[in-house]
Amino acid sequence: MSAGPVLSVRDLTVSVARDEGWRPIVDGVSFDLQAGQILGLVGESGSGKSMTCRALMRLLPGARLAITGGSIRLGEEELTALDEAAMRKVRGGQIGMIFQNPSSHLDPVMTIGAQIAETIRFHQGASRREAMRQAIEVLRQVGIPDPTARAGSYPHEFSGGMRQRAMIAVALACQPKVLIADEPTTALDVTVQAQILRLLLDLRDSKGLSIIFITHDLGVVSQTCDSIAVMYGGRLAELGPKRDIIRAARHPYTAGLIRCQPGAAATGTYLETIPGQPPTVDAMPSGCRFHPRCPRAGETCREHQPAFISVDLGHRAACHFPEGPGQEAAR
Amino acid sequence: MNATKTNRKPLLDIEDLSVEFKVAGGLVPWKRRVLRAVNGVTLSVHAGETLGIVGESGSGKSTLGRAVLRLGELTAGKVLFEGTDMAKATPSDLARLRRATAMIFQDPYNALNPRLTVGEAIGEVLRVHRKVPAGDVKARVSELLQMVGLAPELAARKPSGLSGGQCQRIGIARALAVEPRLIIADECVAALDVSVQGQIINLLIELRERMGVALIFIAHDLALVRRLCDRVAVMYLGRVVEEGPTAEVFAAPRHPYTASLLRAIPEIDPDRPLSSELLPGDPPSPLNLPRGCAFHPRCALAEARCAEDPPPPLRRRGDHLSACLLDNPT
Ligand SMILES: Nc1ncnc2c1ncn2[C@@H]1O[C@H](COP(=O)(O)OP(=O)(O)OP(=O)(O)O)[C@@H](O)[C@H]1O
Ligand SMILES: Nc1ncnc2c1ncn2[C@@H]1O[C@H](COP(=O)(O)OP(=O)(O)OP(=O)(O)O)[C@@H](O)[C@H]1O
Ligand SMILES: [Mg+2]
Ligand SMILES: [Mg+2]
Repeated sequence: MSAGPVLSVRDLTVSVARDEGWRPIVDGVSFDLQAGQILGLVGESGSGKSMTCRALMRLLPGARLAITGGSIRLGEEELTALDEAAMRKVRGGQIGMIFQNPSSHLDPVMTIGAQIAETIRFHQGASRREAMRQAIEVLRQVGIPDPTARAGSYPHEFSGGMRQRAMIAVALACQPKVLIADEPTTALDVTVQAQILRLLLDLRDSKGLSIIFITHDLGVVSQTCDSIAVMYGGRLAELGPKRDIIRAARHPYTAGLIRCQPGAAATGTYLETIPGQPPTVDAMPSGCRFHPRCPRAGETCREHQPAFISVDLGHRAACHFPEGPGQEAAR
Repeated sequence: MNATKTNRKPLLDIEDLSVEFKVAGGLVPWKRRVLRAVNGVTLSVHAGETLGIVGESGSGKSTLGRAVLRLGELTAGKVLFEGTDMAKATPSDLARLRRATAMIFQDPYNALNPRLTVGEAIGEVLRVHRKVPAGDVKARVSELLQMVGLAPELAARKPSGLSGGQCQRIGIARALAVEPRLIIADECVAALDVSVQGQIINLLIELRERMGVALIFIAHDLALVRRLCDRVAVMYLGRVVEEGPTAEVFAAPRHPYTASLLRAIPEIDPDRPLSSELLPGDPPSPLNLPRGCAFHPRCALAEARCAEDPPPPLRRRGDHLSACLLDNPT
């Protein structure tokens, strides 16, 4: 067994074709995922989290989108060089993905059980009967009540959270090495969420499953992840061990996210937000993309893109004027 | 505010509402079985008030929301909107309901027509409800997009060119376009980062204060519910098991299910690992309702009488109702 990372992403760039040329949506993202590691991916809505993960699966939604640079290595294999047939074996087999919008990835005219069983048959060549038995078993694992009966339901007969759990079941059905989970628990109540998180942690411990976990919930990140990556405007703003990121964020955007948690203030009082608007793909600010909203921004920030440099052991940030070490983030 | 509320009639009065679905049976697929998604729910909301609905995934929250706005079927019960029973609505009653209410759907992709651009999708609402003269539609669309924190340029995109959170905000903009007096928001900020989430919640607070909009806020995020809602109802397996002023329910929950929900809120503390204390037992099935209190098979405090029919009714103490037989369960 090699000690290298299971998944290694370097300078990944995903762009959209415009009349004037390619515009990057994901811009030079690099990170490693070790065996059994859980990496939380957080950040602004629209910052490119889902796009990054879909690029890893080579499943970009739309003909005008393409990977225009960088490399994605799964063990020894360069995924950007694989043809579609080889990629299909990787998807669902070695890398499982829980999509953010389950209903567009579940077939509306096929029962939930049949969909999971089909994935199992495709990747493992199990018999129809055996595949259905396994499908019911994974549905039970993700906490669908009465799984034998509910395997016969169609997606529209499931609640939002049940569809999300069906999606998790599809992704886990073939026991992948790497799981990409895009907002897997947003439609779940906290007790079911805890049960799913426990399942993922158990799979990590027993099978060495590695996970990229996209979420907006810093509570969930705190409880499950080893490290946290923060995205802003298509780039990584900060990456480091979860304790460092939550207790001593260096990038002002990360610090802002932590400050905006709803907390326990009185009912009906306004919430704190980060002032200003997030950038869009067609109007990216120069220099540091966060500078128009940043309380610490200076002249340099307007002109030069900050390098993604080491600020502490295993902790990198892309900021010209990072918040000081030891300066605890508010809260 | 509370004083005026008590001597006014509620805007919405839901009485004993039930919704059933017929679904295929498991081992005998040709035998249809009845699934009781909503089971005798009674709730009311005043103008300017925000009612939170939380609870188990699959407990009937979305089904309840759709039935109340007559976007889904209902099996029994009354839905009084400004005194008119919408369960027996005439076409003109329904038209009035459509003009005065809006739903923000849980699944933003499903709720949007993939062939329409964002501008067309919002413009459609403005036109159907004749909210602005035809010449002003474009300007109003831009304004609505900005209200939900989106760049007006997004009006030219189709849903497939949007991120999850951007799609969700299109759903919110469409609901606001109606200028409704009642909004049912089903997990409307679940896909948003905390800063944008804050912006949307602040917008809802403002609508409530300025225009007296009533809001039913269905959500799994209990910290937000606590921040936004005046009252909260907790659902379990189709029934409301607890209801009361938000501060009171959070400080002193009376139903053991509510208590276990509150205990499971993940805290932002990297030194506190995921609790291994999970709710025991299998989640119950609405196809096969347990006898007595639906929560008893998973309840640490359950006694023999909890398993006896009929299920415990909601009992009132002050402003706070709970459906538990025990006197001080939590
Ligand atoms: N087909 C497309 N053409 C142009 N831009 C696109 C297209 N699809 C997505 N985008 C843009 O790419 C950006 C990144 O989208 P992505 O879905 O990765 O965001 P995200 O970080 O997952 O956000 P969220 O938290 O809201 O899900 C968004 O700003 C989105 O508007
Ligand atoms: N069209 C339908 N046909 C059959 N069963 C349905 C249908 N719609 C909903 N159900 C069932 O009704 C129950 C309640 O579903 P509902 O979507 O209201 O739950 P919910 O409380 O909104 O859950 P979540 O928090 O997961 O969104 C579930 O068991 C679901 O499977
Ligand atoms: Mg996304
Ligand atoms: Mg729902």
